Amino acid sequence: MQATINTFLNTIINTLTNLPFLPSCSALLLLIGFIMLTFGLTLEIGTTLLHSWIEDNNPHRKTIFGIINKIASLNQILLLLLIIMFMTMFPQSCSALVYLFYPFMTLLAFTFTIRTLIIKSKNIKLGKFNEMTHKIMQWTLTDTALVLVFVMSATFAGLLNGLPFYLDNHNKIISLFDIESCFNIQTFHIATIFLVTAITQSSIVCYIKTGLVKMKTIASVSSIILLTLISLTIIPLHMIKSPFLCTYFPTQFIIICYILLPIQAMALNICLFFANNKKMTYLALLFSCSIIKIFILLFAMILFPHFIPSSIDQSQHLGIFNSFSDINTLATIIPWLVAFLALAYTCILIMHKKILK
Amino acid sequence: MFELLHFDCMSLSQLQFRLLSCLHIAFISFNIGFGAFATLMQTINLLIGSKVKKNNHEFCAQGAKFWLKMLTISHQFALITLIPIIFSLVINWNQLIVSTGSIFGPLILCMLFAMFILEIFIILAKYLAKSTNLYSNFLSRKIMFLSVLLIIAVLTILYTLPLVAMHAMMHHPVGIEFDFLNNYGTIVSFTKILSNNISNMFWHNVFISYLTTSMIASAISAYYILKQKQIGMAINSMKIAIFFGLFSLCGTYWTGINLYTQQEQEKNTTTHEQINKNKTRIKNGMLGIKAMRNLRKEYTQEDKNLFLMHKEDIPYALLLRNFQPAERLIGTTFETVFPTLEEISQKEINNAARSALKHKIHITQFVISSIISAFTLLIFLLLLYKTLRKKIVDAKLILKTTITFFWAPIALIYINMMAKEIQRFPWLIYNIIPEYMMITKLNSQFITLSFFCFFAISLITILFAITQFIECINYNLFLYPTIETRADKTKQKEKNYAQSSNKNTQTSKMQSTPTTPSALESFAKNIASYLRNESGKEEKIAKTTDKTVAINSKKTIDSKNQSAKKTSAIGKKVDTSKLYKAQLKTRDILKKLKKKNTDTKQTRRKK
Repeated sequence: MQATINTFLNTIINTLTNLPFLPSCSALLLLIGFIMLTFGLTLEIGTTLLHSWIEDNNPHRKTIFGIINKIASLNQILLLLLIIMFMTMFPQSCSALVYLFYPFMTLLAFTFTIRTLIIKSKNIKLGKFNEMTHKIMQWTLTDTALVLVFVMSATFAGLLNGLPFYLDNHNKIISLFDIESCFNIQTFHIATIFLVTAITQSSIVCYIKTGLVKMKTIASVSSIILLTLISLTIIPLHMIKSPFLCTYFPTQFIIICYILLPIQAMALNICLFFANNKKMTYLALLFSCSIIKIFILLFAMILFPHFIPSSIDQSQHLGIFNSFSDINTLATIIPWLVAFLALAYTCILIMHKKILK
Repeated sequence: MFELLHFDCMSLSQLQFRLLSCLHIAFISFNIGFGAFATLMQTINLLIGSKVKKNNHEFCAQGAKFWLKMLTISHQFALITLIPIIFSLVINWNQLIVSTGSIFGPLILCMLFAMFILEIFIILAKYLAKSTNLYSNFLSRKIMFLSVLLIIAVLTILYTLPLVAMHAMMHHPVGIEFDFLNNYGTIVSFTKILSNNISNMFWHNVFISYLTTSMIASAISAYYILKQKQIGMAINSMKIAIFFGLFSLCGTYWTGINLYTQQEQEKNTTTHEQINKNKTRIKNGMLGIKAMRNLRKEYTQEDKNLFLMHKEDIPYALLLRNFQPAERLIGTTFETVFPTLEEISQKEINNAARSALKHKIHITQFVISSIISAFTLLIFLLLLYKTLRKKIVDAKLILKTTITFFWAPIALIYINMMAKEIQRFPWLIYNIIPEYMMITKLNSQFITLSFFCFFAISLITILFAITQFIECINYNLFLYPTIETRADKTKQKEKNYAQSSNKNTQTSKMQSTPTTPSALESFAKNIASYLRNESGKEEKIAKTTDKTVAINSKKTIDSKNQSAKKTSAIGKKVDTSKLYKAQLKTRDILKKLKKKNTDTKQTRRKK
């Protein structure tokens, strides 16, 4: 019995290992996971920001926190999963990223843990013991969310710029990283787009849930800002001077995105204008979600098939086929991950439905 | 500032990782215990159910809910503490990811998978616990709740399986291969890793975690008894905790003795000859490293054969780095650390050969752990004696000792863990990879930065966890009212029924839409009385609402906007959510009234 099971497993592994697209398949899975995470994160950050704006007497404060708590618990696991996925599937590029973004990584860990601590601590009713900490944490909550958004966008933009690094003979990465190259106009531009979309998305959700007029006005104002920001994306994207991007950048895709993103933003505005109808509000939510997803897809398309482009020597790029893990582990992990991501996605859908109820 | 401190990179990153893992392990053990405890309470609830002891049945139901809540808190903190652990793994043990990412990665993924499913089931259990029909005669709902709790209890144990497997693999590597030429490790068989050394280590950990939670449960119930609140629930949970604790103590004792005898057998094999063997292995390993260096530069068959011959001895030679003078190591890479066999002294080889052996468990560890377990046994026996004689409420000294020494089994876990870590010290994976090879090649300044950052995180989490647990305990005092006798309960039920019927009549009155202005006035009064009953606030507020609502109702007939503003003004005084609903209702009514007025006007004009 055991022998037959073993042979069966071996045949599956052999067939999987013979497939040439296994590393790229794992990269695709990573991308899907990342899109899921960003969807959750944007909702979470936006709701936390809105929560800090709403007064204490407002009856819908609890409902908004209900939204945050549900999504936060799922996002936490998704974040951990994505880190470990990246660690197991592309170990070398993971270590390279650590060398390049060492201070950012420590900051990220700090912000994530403290943010989750704050959110989780509000699950239970506050007694006398925790009143002071609650008031202090209300102020820090918005700050941490902002820091998180800026860090995320800065890492993206830094990758786009083509961070300078090279590998020595023994695969040791020597980084020539400076923080100034990461914080330029482009990074702040992307960061603000992320933040504004987060606010619009969450305010639309809150409007559907609570029916407050205040939420609708916030959503409409932020959507107008989003439109102006997206229309200005051409300027920072043209400021990229990296030779890597000049050679590998898929110009057709960028043109599509230039056309698609403003159209989506326009549609969002129109939907919000006629948002008294319930169908239109749902459509607005859909458009605001898809804006972020297209942004991420754009980044992925720019970087494909490379994870970290080096600007000094183009042969030293760390890519999908250059730095993937052992083929046996990939073959064993990928079926598990497909199942896991499907499960996670259904969970997100259920939660989303519950929120919209 | 960081330059002045001058910490060693290796010791700092080791300390950091161990601190964070200590935090995480405590919450995992709570998870396992609380899950089992909640299921036990629910099973007793089901078994006793509709029989004689009605009060006991309800107390058990309350207990199941309470321990489920404690489980959710501990699970949240287990999740939160996992984030810095993984980040520290990525940041400080960078080379570990490059070389053994494909070994440790799948195991951690399995752990996360179990965690994710556990999260879903906890949400389901919360939903079932909240539903009102749960503790009525509807039996299938009860069984469903019990089955969900059972799944949670199993999943909490399954969640620890990959963790224990990882720990066991570090001590006794099975099912992996390490390629020193490319500095890369792979999994040969996943099942061997999972089933490695599982019979003793795994169950020992599970039993210890049961013991810790039973001690904590008894401490919490002792706190309730001392405060003289929730005495029924507290005594019931105390009884279960005592029996559960005694059972888990037997389990830990049995598995612990098995582990100790296993280690004693290993000790007998390691003699003076073993050190001599290690010395020869180190020398062979040096030759292997030399061949490896040549192979990296140029490929020759001779070097290849030499490398394959001494492949298994290379890690022993790598241990030499720990015993070399610090001057030689500054600014060195893998190539320059090992000069030649002639340059290394005999003393260094001797030290390396001794360090390669598994460290003997110090007898003090065994003595301390046995003393702690004996102490917990004594406490449990005293509590059992008092509960059997039904004098637990008067035994304040014993109760106070249980509260003060709730941490004793947790200390047992930490002692066990630290002993294991010391036992394995120079190796990360025994006989395969030394620890120093896996640390990031960064300056100590960076690592001190991350160390202080993660230290702050761990401190904050400890503080938050303590506040959360204390709040949960205090909050539950008010959540469940004390149930004294069945007669009182029936009286309360009757009262509740009468109140609910009153409410229903009031709400039905409110739901019916008034058509005339006089009817609207009465409607407004109804709202005020409804609010008074619902909010349960002081009479002053009720009076003000009565007046203001009455004034508003008069004004609403004249204009729509003014009334809306004033009702919102009351909203700040009374419960806002209920008033918001009432506000919406009044708006609807006003709209209908306006429509009717216009209709009547039109009909008059037509006439």
